Amino acid sequence: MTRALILACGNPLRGDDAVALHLARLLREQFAGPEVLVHTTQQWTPELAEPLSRCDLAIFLDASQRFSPGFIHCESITPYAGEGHAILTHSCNPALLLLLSSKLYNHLPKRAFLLTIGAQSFAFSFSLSSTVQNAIPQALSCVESILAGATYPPSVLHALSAS
Amino acid sequence: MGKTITIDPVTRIEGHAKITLQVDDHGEIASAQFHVTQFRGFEKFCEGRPFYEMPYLMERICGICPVSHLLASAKACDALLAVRVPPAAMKLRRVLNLAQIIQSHALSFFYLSSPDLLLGMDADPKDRNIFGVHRANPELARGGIRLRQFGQQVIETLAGKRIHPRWAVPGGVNEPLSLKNRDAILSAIPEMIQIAFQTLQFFKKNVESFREEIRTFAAFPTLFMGLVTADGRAGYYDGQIRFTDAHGQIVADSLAPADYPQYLGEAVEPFTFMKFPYYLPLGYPDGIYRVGPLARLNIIDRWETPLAQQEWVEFRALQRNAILSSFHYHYARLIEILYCIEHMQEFLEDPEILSTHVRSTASLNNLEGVGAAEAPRGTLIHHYRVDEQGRITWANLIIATNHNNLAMNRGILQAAQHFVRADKLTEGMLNRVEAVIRAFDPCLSCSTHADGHIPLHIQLRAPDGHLLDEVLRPS
Repeated sequence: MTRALILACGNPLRGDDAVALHLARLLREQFAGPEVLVHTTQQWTPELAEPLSRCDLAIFLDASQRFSPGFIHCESITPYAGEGHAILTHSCNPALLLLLSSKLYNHLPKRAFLLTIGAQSFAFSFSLSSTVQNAIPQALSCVESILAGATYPPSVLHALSAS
Repeated sequence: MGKTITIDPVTRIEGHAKITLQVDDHGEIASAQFHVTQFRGFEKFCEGRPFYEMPYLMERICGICPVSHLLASAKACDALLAVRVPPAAMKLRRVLNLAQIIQSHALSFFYLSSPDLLLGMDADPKDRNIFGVHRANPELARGGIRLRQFGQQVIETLAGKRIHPRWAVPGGVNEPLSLKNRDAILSAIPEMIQIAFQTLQFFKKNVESFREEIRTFAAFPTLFMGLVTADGRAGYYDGQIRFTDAHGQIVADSLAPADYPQYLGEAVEPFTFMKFPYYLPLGYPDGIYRVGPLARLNIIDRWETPLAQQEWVEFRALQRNAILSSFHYHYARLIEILYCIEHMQEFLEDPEILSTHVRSTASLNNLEGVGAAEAPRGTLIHHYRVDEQGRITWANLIIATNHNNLAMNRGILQAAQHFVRADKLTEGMLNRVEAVIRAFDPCLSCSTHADGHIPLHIQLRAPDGHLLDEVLRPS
């Protein structure tokens, strides 16, 4: 079984939306081996429930409109509490994927976290804004700390960056 | 006075659309229209771009079937170069196309349509999703996820990423297949064959409970069209166009895809951005035809892989001559998944596929090029014209979903007239009308390019609804 699965979601053509993909590239370089699997995706899709059913720790990485640019937010997440009827190819999220993993494969990662980074711009661009680029080292540290055993409570904001 | 019933949006399809049903004074459904309300315009905004950008630009039409556009576009560019694609690259492109069909069919059957098939057309809409499928048949839900995952993994392994890969290029592909990756794909194939086979057995066992839907879901005589090889097998990556009729007779055969303007017409209607292709010799709308899984299984003489051939023979025995019910698109889709997995295995076991010679180079040799391939939903045609510098001056796309437009419109009318009672609407009635569309598995984001043809009616209204101005442009 993969010890940790890191799932990074983003669109490389949409500026800061790709911040999770940049993080994933760095994490792949750092953790090359079967213990930590890094997977990138352009959208959350139901197929991701299958690898989730084979890991102890899941870390979801994404950009966010919810927070100010460069703000890093980490929370532990649990399976979606509703019926999940909204799950479709165009509408999915990490909590729904955990629910799907739990229902279909009868397995939940022991720990699951969602780390999001506030984006400045989702306009067409291959590059990140400087604010978001500057947040990457701290986001990386956050992922490293989770891999080392750190934990974060659910739905409580954790300002991990100075911005 | 009659009334209009609107189903908006049509759910569990790719893209955005609505259906309107017109009820006459006697409370009967008099007409039905499938409105595709989005517009893309790729044919127009690619003008002026260099031709070698086309595969990557055109694949952006869709996030579900980008590979189909990538391949049809690369083939149109091959024709502009008049280049001979190396055999290994040809095989790799074929494997990519098969993977695309597997993942797209799995999405259509397991994610979008199986809730109807497993839970029934009258089931609570809250349950019509993959969780509902799981509650009723966990193996089926897991199998669907695994099949789609496999198709996408093959695309990623070959082409670098699952959505919008930049791999097929004019003249071939830009990277060969490694032995390690080849073996990784091959190792998953037995499991995939088993899933596909078991799903087929499940479907066959249950299909009889949909007798009424089979009889009324776009079940009428039309022509069928698709690519076939010289010896009458399905030509997924290439081949010549064949038309057969409702009696299974060949109407036209060995038609070059590049000659499509000689046998395909394109009509437009004022209520949708989707064009209406038709078989030119029969005129519009009599030249109605269908493409995609059902059509492909109707037009071929045989298949070359053992399990799919066996299933195809059984399928064709459902009805003498051609299978006419569009409900059986689902059945045909499952047989195609099985075939694609078997056929992929054959290509991967051919040592030539590991050759590192995967791209030929050439300069621009033609000012016009057509590329055609079978996409999951049917025959896809890309047609480009360029200037001497290789810049696109004109493009025309005939998208798989477009071909079925006439049949989809006629199909919802047939189902609505059978199931819908205008005096007492139920969710199950309307779901059946939607399910006709779902059977065709239309990809609407791919298929809405009728720029400059649609009659335009713009009304400028004040906040109180008062009409301030109006522009009417006829088609």
